[in-house]
Amino acid sequence: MEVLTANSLVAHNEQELLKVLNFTDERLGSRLMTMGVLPGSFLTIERIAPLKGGYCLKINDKKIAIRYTEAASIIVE
Amino acid sequence: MTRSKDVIVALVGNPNSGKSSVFNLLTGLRQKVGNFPGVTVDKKLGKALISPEYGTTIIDFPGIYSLFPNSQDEKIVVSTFLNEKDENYPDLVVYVADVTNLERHLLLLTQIRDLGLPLILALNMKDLAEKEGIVYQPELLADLLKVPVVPVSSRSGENFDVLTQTIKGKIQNLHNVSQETPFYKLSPQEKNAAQNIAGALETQNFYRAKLIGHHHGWLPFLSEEEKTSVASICKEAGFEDLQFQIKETMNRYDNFVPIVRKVLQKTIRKNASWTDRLDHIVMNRFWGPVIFIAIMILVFQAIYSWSGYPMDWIESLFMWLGENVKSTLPDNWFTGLLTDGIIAGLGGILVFVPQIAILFFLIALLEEVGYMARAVFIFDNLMQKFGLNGRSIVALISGGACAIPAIMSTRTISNWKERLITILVTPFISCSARIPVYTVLIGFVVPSITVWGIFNLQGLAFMGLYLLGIIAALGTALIFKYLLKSEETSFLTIELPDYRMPVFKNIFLSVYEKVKTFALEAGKIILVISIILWFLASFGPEKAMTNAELEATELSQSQNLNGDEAANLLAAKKIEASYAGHIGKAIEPVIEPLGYDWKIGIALLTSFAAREVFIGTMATIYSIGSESDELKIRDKMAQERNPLTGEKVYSLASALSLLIFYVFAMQCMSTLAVVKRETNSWKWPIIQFIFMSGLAYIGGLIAFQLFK
Repeated sequence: MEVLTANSLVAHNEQELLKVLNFTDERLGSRLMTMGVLPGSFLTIERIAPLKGGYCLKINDKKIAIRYTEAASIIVE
Repeated sequence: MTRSKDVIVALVGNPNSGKSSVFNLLTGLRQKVGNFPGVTVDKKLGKALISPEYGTTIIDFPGIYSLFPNSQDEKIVVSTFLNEKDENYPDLVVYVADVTNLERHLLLLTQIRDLGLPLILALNMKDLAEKEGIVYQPELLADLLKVPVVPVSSRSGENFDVLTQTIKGKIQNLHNVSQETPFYKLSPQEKNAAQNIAGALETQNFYRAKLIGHHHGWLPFLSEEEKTSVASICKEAGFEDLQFQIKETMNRYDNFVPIVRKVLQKTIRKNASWTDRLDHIVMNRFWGPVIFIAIMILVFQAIYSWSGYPMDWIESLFMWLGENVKSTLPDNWFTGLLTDGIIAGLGGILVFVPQIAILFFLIALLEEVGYMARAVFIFDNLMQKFGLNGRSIVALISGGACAIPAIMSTRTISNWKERLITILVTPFISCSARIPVYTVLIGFVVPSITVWGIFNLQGLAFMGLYLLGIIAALGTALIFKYLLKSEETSFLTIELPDYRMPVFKNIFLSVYEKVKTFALEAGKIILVISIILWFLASFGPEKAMTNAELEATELSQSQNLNGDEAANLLAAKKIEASYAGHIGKAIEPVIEPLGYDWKIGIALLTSFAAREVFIGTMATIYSIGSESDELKIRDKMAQERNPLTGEKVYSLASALSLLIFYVFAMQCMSTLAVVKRETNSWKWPIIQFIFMSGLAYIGGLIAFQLFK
């Protein structure tokens, strides 16, 4: 299992409002950025599926769903 | 102005921008589906009536988020737009953006603008923006982006006359395009690399050169030398692929976010929206899967109950047609080819149309209202463990009705490996064609008694066969997950659109297009194989056939058979003497360890046309006139004994073996034809045929040897 830093998205809970700082994986980050998840933007964790399932995020009033690995690559504060 | 070639207009936009609705409104029924050269990504194109002076072809490109692609369908857009010599290279791009979410949709727009392509921005969802109280100034936006802007509504068709006029105006002025300053200013490092690439490839546009620097590794139109020279230029210039992608994306956002702020004001929603309230239940960890299963049971039920009547009509229509032709035309080989080969083959194709149409109607409906993305999210985690994708769940469940539409529905899976595995394992799910075979054989295996108070043992056995299919599907998926290598990164990253009322025009066009594709593409192959099977079953070595006829006549006379009985006996003797009969006997040593005789061999062979043909073949071999009489066939089969050992042919062991064989075996040429079409090669249907038949053989062998 990968070592998670306290500021990874997966260390947070549902309904938290978070500011995106950076990505740990450039490829995943590049993909997320094209969908509007940018460093400096704010997002809310709408829903976390159990057993390391997906994350449902709300950003700019729109919802996107990502996998656990993708969520783990987002660094937030 | 007259042109020898059609003007090509590309429709581009993010997924969920309403691009397909725009396409449907511009082209109506004048659309068709092709393939992009060399790949299996569907190319939807249609003729639009823009002007009487020249033809206009509109291509609906797959929805993408940026010119930094990940999946196969995203790459096709980039490789088309970077290659001026591509047959699909557009003369004009109509970019469709969702005005209610303008910020995210502008990234790709500015990238395309920097490629120097003539561009029109269609601001879609005008109606929704008005409802949500979004105030915006299209003229100011056009001014700041330096792109003509037309607000439209693809749901109501509002302002499409303006859009058509704008397209027309742009096409008439294609030759005097003024090049705007690029939206994104290349950094010195990027510029250095782009300049050298542009020089090496003789292209004018630096941004195109920069993108070739990013993507030269996979761009199909570059020659090996060009790839090497671009690679060395990039290396010398210190060109960092991913870092430069991220930098460019950030820079573009920094440039257009202020523009969006200037031209558009959103009122902040006070109440939780409809979507939020629905999602609270639909995506709940307990209710989510429950609702999904309930919806799937409904879909399943609809396919079974609604398709029954039209399928009966089609069957009786073709039966009536065949009989009429048979009685009108002289009894010769040509009539046989026409009735038993061509008409029966056409019937075999068209009988699937109701199921396909209903399934695709329901799937398109679920997609259109926004539910499908939720189902994908709910099941993605579980499916991933088997090398599949969240979207595979739709295909696997549809496979319970028929594998053909199920395989066609996998096109929504963008990761090629995940899509391929889904296609390969879906036929393991017991489809409706296996039901008649199960019904006839199950009686030989388990008695019809009630156990534990409420369960019928045969019903439980039925369920067991379905479970066996599901286990086989997931198990093989797991094996393929480790066998297949894929460079392509697997993402979920899926947008969950707001729930909305469906546009039925889009649904009907989607159903129409899929049914047409099935009937034409798969139909061709099914027809050819039907004709081959007809030939094998009706012809044989001349001597053997004459002998069979003589024998049948003698037997009928000595046993005083009436006309029908004599005809049935003749048919039975003839099929024994035919090439199919010879093949049945030739494969008897191979299938003997499974407990089958040559008669079952023939049925296995003809079942390849479609599984339910097993019953019809059995009827012919046992010379029973009506094949609908399942009980009569079962009685005959129950009496059948092996001439050498005197043992029953249909014992518990052989019937169980045959059941297991039918669960696993790939005995459906229609499915193989569709797999060939969807994977664009014979390789995968052949591999699928081999592993499914192999598993069927081993499964049957183990069952027979254990229970005999």
